[in-house]
Amino acid sequence: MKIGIEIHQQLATKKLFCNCPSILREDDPDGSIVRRLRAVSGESGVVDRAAEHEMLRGQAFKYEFYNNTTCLVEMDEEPPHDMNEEALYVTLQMARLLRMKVLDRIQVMRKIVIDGSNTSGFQRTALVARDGLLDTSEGTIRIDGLYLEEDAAKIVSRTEDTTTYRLDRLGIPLIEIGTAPDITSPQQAKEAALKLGMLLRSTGKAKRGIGTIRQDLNLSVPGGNRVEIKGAQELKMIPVWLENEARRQERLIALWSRIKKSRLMDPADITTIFSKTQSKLMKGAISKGNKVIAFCCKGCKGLFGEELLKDYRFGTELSGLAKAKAGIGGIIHSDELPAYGITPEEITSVSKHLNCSQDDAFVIILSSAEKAAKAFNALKERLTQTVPNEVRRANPDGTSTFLRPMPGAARMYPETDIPLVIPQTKGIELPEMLEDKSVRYEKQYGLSKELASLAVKEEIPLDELTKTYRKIESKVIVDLLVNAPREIKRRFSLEVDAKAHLNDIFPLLNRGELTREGAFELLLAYAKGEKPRIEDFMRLKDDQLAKEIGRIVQENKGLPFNALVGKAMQKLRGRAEGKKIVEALRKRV
Amino acid sequence: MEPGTRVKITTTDEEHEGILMPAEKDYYSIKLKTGYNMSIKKQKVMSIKQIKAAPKEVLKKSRGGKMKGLKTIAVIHTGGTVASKVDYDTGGVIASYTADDFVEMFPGVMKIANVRTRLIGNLMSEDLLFKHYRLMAKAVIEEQRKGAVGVIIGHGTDTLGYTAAALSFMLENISIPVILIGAQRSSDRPSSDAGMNMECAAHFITRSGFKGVAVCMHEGMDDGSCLILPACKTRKMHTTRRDAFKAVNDLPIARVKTDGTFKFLRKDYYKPKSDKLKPLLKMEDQVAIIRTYPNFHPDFFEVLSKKGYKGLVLESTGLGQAPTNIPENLPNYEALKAFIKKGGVVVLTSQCIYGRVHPYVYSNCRRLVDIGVIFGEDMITETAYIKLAWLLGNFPSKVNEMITTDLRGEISERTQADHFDVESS
Repeated sequence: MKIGIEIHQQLATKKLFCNCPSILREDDPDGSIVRRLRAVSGESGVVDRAAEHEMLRGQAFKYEFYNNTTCLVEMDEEPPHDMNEEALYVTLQMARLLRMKVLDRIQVMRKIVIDGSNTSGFQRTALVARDGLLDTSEGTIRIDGLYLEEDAAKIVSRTEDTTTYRLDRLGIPLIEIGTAPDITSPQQAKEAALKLGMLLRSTGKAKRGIGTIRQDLNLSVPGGNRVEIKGAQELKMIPVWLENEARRQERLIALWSRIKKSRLMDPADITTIFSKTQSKLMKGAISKGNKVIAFCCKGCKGLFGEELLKDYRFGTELSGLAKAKAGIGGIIHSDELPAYGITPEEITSVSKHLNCSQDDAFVIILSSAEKAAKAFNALKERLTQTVPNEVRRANPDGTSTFLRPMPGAARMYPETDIPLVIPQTKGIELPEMLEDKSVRYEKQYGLSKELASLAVKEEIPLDELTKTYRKIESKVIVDLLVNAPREIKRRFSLEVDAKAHLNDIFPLLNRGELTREGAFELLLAYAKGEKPRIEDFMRLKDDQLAKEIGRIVQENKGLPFNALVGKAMQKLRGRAEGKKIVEALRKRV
Repeated sequence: MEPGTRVKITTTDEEHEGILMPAEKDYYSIKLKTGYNMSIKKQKVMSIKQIKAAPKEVLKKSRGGKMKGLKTIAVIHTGGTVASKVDYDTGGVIASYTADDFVEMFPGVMKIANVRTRLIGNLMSEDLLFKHYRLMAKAVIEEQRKGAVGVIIGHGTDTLGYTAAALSFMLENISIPVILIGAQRSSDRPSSDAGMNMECAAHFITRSGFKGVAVCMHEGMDDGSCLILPACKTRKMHTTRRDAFKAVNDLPIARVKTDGTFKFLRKDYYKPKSDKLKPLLKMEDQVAIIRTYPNFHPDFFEVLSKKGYKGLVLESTGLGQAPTNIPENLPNYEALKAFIKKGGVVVLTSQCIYGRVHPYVYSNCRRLVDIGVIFGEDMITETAYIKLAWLLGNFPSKVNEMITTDLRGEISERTQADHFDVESS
């Protein structure tokens, strides 16, 4: 089999074509706008505009925005600004790491995308470098292209006529790396993805968190066709998706002799057959004004019920296709009946009405006549192909669903709002590789191997921090930023982002006004969602300590000395070293 | 080799195959299999070989035959973002579609009306001259004569307001709707606002019974509705937003939704007095707009006098003040006085954009009245300029009297609270 992968990594810079921060948000947006897109042809004028126009008719897109983190550029109410220099720099670093040839001039292109995920109706994307190499344990893979592009808007919800997107993600720079179809096994694909991910993170500008890196997988088996599986986010699932796709293609090839003999008869409106149906599904659909449209599939008996994968039948595949192409809820086929409360009598009358014979199957569609016709045509076309050249969405269970046909080059044309960029390839420094950095941290800062690798993984800017806070031991820095949040999670089941509180805590630690334990207590208070008074956590001066000890002794009259030590330790945790507390107690008692 | 040719380019260190695209000089640009365009410095190129000739351009015919039962409207195309596409010479956007291309881009319009197209120029609106207004006006007159129920004029947005005012004055008693539309996003992108503005204009023309000149542009940033705006009181108020056009010192006339429904928002908009069309197409060429500002010098006024200018719209800083009061600014006063004495007409408007100018609140303003400056009521500067040139062209002896008389809805008698439409944030 031939496999190629594409990696998309979000960058933690400002947005690619405006100065908005690349921040994803969960809070309520400040407002929204509703738009419709229209069909246009690309540079070469190939797109069938009329067809696309029909497709877009009636589709509304709602875009949610935030006043302080999105702007008119994301709303397509202002032209793009210049390409973000930092994002370009990181891309050129990647070009060096992958031994690629950088283009003389970078031309930003518009890639027509009409699902509404880009307010403009296109994604801005630029080819930056070509012809690179990546070594894996199973051999060297060629890298075809390195691209810098803008991420699309995030989908929030979808109804039949309106899709809602949020603009926070739109415009975040994405580096795309596409390999040649040189990968020969699913395991090698995973390894390549892992390696490319490591290289990207080494730049220090890769955005972190769920969804910040996405893989697309391309696969074909002999006799099959190139299929792209989009949105494979989970690395360890990559081999599963690939194995399943290979199997799907092989099964389709095996079924081809039967598929090609199939013939779809003209659809008929059979709503009246179900006028008194007890099936909830049918009743519900009819009451909503939908029609029951059915057609006979000559020679198809059993075909739709054939499993391509476990729990994934040829019928499932056709259903997914009809959903995507016609916007219907799915199809019902005779191989899965009786089900959905449809009775054997009803099945017989449908079969009769459609003149189906023993060898035939039938398909039922619940929708308007117009949509049913679209679905019928989509299925008819599908049955003329073995493995269509298409884009599929990766499902979490390892299967995939039809998303759209493979787009051609016709959908690309130049972005005229942005002048050609002349890349400055001189002075691009290679970032330190993560493994190298880990080893250096061990040596330079005397960290354990584990702590060093954690510091690297969590992207603790240790060089910078140790320089700024010279009096804090580097171990303490890593311990507070990496281990403390883990400990808080383990012991208290609370989350805290230690880095976010770095500026409160580290200056005090550096001046000796906060102990390490005090810092931990402070972090814990933040984790609890309290608004802690810093003074309550600061190291006690000698006279303050004496006073506190006095109070503890007063409150616990008659306790033996050891118990007093326990009380004091508990009360003054983190505010003075244990030794000092004991000393002060001894003095007092 | 012509664009469209499939070529193999060999450079000093590699080979590339792709389709030749138009490019800047010193560079080849080829479209790779992936659809990306790649520039290659000509210097580096050792050889360029044709692999396959450029496909012959397929002539796109089929303008969609006339549909029975649909009314006929004319679309007059002048250029602008509303009909622009990529320019390979400069890499920017140019206005380069023909009127036919323009209509073909908006298949939705063909379902609303039968469309007759007419190309009279291919200009970005900042380049327009008075002679283009005459061309447009004549085209409209001819279309009315030929039975079009209305006319849509596709226009660049920058000076669309000026043109709307000019046509409004030129076409006295026009008895069909003449609707100007533009686009803030070029029509070569799926998100262009051109199509909706066009369709809304077509709906309004075929259904509303409106007569006269107006502007049809997006009401908000949504693709929900368009506003029909008064020709003489509409201004572009934002460089890029779809809803850049606002009625100033006035209210929108109607709202048109994408589904074709519309609603008149007022009854008191300007309507032609009769059905007897009277073309008044002359425009005086020597008219200028000058904006006053701190540290102003008399040079502009002096040049106007010297060159024999006939009219000047003076955009003052507030209620009607100009820098003419302290000794240092007296030369400005004297120069302005000299211009008027030579026969120049000076109409005063305000940089505030919204509101009315007033000659008597400040003594400074009275001093301007004393030398013959005419206070332009609540006319917006752009309209005052067009009106002044038009009056000087057609009614040279009556300019002073007519300039402050409302002719086409350019002056409101009353300043309503809701005439100040500035979005609060």
